[in-house]
Amino acid sequence: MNDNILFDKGYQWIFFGRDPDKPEKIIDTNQYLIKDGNRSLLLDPGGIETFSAMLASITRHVRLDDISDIFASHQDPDIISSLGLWDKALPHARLHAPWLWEGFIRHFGCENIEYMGIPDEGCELELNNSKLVFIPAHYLHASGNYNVYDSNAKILMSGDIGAALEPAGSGMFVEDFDAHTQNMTLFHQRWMPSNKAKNDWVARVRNLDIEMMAPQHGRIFKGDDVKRFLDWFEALEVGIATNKLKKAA
Amino acid sequence: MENNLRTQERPFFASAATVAGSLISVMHIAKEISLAAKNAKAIAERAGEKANGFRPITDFIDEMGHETISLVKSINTKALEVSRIAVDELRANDAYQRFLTAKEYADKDAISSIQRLIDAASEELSEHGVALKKEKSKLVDLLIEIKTQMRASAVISTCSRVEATQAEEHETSLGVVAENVDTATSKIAMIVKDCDDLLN
Repeated sequence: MNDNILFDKGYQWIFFGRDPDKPEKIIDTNQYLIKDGNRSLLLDPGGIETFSAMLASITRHVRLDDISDIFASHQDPDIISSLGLWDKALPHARLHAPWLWEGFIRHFGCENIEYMGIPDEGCELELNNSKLVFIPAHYLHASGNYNVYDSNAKILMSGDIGAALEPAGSGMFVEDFDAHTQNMTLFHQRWMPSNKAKNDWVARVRNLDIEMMAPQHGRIFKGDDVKRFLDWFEALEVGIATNKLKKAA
Repeated sequence: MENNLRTQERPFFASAATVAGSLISVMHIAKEISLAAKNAKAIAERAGEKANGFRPITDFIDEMGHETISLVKSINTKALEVSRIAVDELRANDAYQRFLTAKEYADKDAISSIQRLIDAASEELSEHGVALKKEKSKLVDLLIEIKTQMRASAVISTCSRVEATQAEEHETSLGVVAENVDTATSKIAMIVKDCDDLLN
């Protein structure tokens, strides 16, 4: 699995993904680690199938004993189905995940790790040098859903927002925004159910100082491409499956 | 029923869960035995002195029905416990295998931290193995107990048939009761044998 340091000032944001050995039929995912001394946070650690590669990759950067916290933006299997394995690898860790999904996520196996339900309005998590905010992104796409914002690093880990479906081996960063929208449009229209929730999120996120927006699938947005994404997303009509079904009927 | 139990190769946790599931039908059959005992009591009451030999047997049949139900409940609980331990063992084994794979990918510096996970998983795996062996043995003992009970039931059914012949005009009714007990005993014995085969 490839890795890349996104931020490195007192603590690090590290990207993991583009695994060349990933089984073909499972969706490609981006994982992130905030390495902050003995309080490191693993974000959306991924599914069972990528667990071994992920475990091996993070040990290049951090001692396992130093991973104190895990974050799951929502309940999907590509986000957190590996929980039962992390539960054995990091038995003393805490899992920060939507309170709404606790009863569901526990089906993946959570005997040792402590489940910390994130309230609807979000909350903060302070590690050693980093201070993070779990920002509500409900209905984008799951009914209980959060992003992670780091105002110091100016990074927004945006979960499925900004995701793109591309062939294996695609680049890490968005290079041509207009061309990239082709890989995002259908994903957002189909997976995101609510225009109201989307526009509310866009309005809140416009107030944040963001240099990098890091989704869980596809490429990372940098600099002006973040604003371009917000404009594009605001204009996009989502939740279109019912319209399509009506037309087909 | 026996085909469902026998035809497929399953992981052990599924076999144990199948044992628990198949015993539900034993519970129903045992309830039928209790019902047969109640019918037999009523007939024996009506037959008066002619059913003197049959009457005490009805108590045995009734008692056996209740004991079978109680035993099946215990086996059911134990089979589910064994299944759960087997699932835990499977998950521990999954973790163990994935830690081994991670070690292959890991850099030299990180190998020791992953080796610690491998050692812990190996220990957990071994603990589950010991617990599984112990609880499986208890489950097998319970199945032996119910098999013994079914042998006793077969004897009672034979005695019932003999005593029914002494009950003159009530012979047919009591004969049906004896037949019902016999059929129920055979069915239970067959299911228990299948369960036994599954666990071994």
